[in-house]
Amino acid sequence: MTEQRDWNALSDQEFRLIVRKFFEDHYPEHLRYSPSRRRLAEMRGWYDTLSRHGWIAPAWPTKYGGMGLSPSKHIIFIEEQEAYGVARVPDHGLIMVGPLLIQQGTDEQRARYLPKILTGEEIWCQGYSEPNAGSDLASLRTEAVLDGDEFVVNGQKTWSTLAQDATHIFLLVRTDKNARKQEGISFLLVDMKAPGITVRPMATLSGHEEFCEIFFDNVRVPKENIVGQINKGWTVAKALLGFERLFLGSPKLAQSALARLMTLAKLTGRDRDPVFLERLAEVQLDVDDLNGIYRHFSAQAGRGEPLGQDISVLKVWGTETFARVADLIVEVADSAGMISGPALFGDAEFDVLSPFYNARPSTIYGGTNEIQRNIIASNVLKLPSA
Amino acid sequence: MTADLERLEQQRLITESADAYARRELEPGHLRQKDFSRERWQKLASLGLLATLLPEQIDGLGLKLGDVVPSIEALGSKLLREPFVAACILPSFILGATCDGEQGAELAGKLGQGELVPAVAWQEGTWTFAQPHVATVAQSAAGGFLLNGRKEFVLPGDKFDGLIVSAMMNARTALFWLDGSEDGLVIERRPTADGGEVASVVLSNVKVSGERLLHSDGAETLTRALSAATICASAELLGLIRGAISMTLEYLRTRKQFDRTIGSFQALQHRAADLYIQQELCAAALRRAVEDFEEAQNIADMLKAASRAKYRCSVTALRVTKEAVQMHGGIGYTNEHDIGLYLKRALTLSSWLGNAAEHRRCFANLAFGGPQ
Repeated sequence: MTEQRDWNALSDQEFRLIVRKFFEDHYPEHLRYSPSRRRLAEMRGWYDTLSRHGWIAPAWPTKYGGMGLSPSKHIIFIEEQEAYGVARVPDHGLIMVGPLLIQQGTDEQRARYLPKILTGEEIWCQGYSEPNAGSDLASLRTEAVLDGDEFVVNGQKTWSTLAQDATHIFLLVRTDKNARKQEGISFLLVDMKAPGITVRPMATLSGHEEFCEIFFDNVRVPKENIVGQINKGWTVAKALLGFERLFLGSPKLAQSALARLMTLAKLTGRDRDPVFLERLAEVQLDVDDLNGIYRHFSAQAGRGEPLGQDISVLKVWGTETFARVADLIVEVADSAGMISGPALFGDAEFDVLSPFYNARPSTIYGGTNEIQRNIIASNVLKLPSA
Repeated sequence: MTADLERLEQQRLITESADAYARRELEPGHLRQKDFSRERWQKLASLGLLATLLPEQIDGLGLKLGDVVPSIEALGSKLLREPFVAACILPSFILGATCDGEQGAELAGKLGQGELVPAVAWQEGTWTFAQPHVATVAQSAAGGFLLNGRKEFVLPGDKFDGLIVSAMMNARTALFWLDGSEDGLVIERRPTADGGEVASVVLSNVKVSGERLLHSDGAETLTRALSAATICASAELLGLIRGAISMTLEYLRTRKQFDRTIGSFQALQHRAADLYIQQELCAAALRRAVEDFEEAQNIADMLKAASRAKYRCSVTALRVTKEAVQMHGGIGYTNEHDIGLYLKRALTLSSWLGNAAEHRRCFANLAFGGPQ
């Protein structure tokens, strides 16, 4: 059933229509426009569908089982996916581990891991942040010591999104305690079934268990599971920060919150209040201009040009606009702003607080907005450090 | 296709000369000079900048609005003293649309050559951007028309060679050409924050001859011209924003206090980053406005395009220039430093053709059918 085609030979419009049709034909209606991240159990069917049709890895080269899309075709794929409200499958293997192994892995690693990512037999999660290494990631302390043919890993990772559903984890670990911060770090692939690993899901403010803490207690990892050279893990990890940085600032969060705000305005009658409509105009223009900068960067990526440090603009504005719209939803809800879960507006149910809760981590993850401002100040505006 | 390529080539040349001219010859300090400089205006003409939007049949360049936007940004970044948008872009759209007539063609030709500085007297005491109310009236009289009314905020003060005046006639918006010397015309000058001036124009039984009628039903022409001018004023504001940010960054990189360059303080770094983000949003709003204006199917589309650009650029210009003065500290509040000139220009330009609040209201009306 796998379709082997040269997608890039199609015109953009032809390709767009094929992708749109595919989502319309195959994507389950009840999973459209999810307010929060979906768990593996809910997304398994869709993972299988994509996998069966050879559509699970749009950006991977065809020789490794991907669709081999050019950057511009990939953007179209994502645009259509978002327009149709397709939820993310657990995709750390697809967008992180796969591309990384294709770029920097060994032949053995590629043969061992890639096929199982494509089928969804193995699901990956990320082990970067630690309780004392958040924005300052390079100060991480989880340690891996070589003992014969194996590394022995001890330490703790945190904020691993949906790690409770994962079979494998990719880790940044310290392999040289005496080297300078960034220089003693290595990149390891670890089977979560290994003895000594404990996963503890953490409930977020929204009440969902979206991420986990992971504890490593003398976990033994075969030496060949290192990606790249020992102590060069920082460089390995940095190579991943390319294309996907575009999606941290995707307008979809703000846009869907705005659509919810308009729904609530109708339910509450505020859509006839001129004072409210002017504030609505303000956030509408904020979202429109967010779309404007997003298109600017995605056109750049679409032409295959590397994205510069100014991409941080997108993350800051995208998430903070989302947060402003979410605030306005709570305000318009009036007393119902206190209701957890669906509140009643006449006969209609409306969940007031979900965008508000979702806005909280958005300005924190992927590099806090404060870090993004540091990046703009020093790397774009060239402001001095002393 | 060839025509398009030719246009693009001309666009490139015009942008390059505007850039070079702004870099080499313009200084923000020109804003301290009292008067409109005919010499600089002539220079703009010799670079072709005054003829960019005029039709080719009267020796204009026939460029599109988007083609001239980068040039306006360049001029704006150095605070061009002369009101280029008011005295060139706005009348270009009106005279360009009336150049089928002999009078329109002659005036447009002279405008392009820099031989004529026209003012457009359209605004009155009560108005909104979407519905510029015309209370000034024109009546037929022997051999011509009689005009009565009062126009406000006419640029460039009394430094014009003639006036385009809008007036209601037979329930339509008519446009007339006045040379400024007519009996019954009183011009009251008033200084603007940026050192320029505007004028109130009082028309008491002003008699104009029949051939001075440019357009007997010019409401759409006027709205189109005002929308285009509003987008161009936004471009000028974006240039100003870039200029003010760049001057402020230079200051942050060099000024030392507590043995450190002040640009190394995170409190200032984050504020500078925020200003940069706003600048990029202005650029995005302007790109979208130009596209939407070119593709507009109706008046509402044009107005909406103008409002999205002017809202964002007006809000940002004021925010950026106030922050710029603050970051410069005491020297920023003196008349000796140029950064304050950016603030004064921002005050003037952001208030002209509808400020941010007016355009937010206008956009709300158009997008959501809100308050009328």
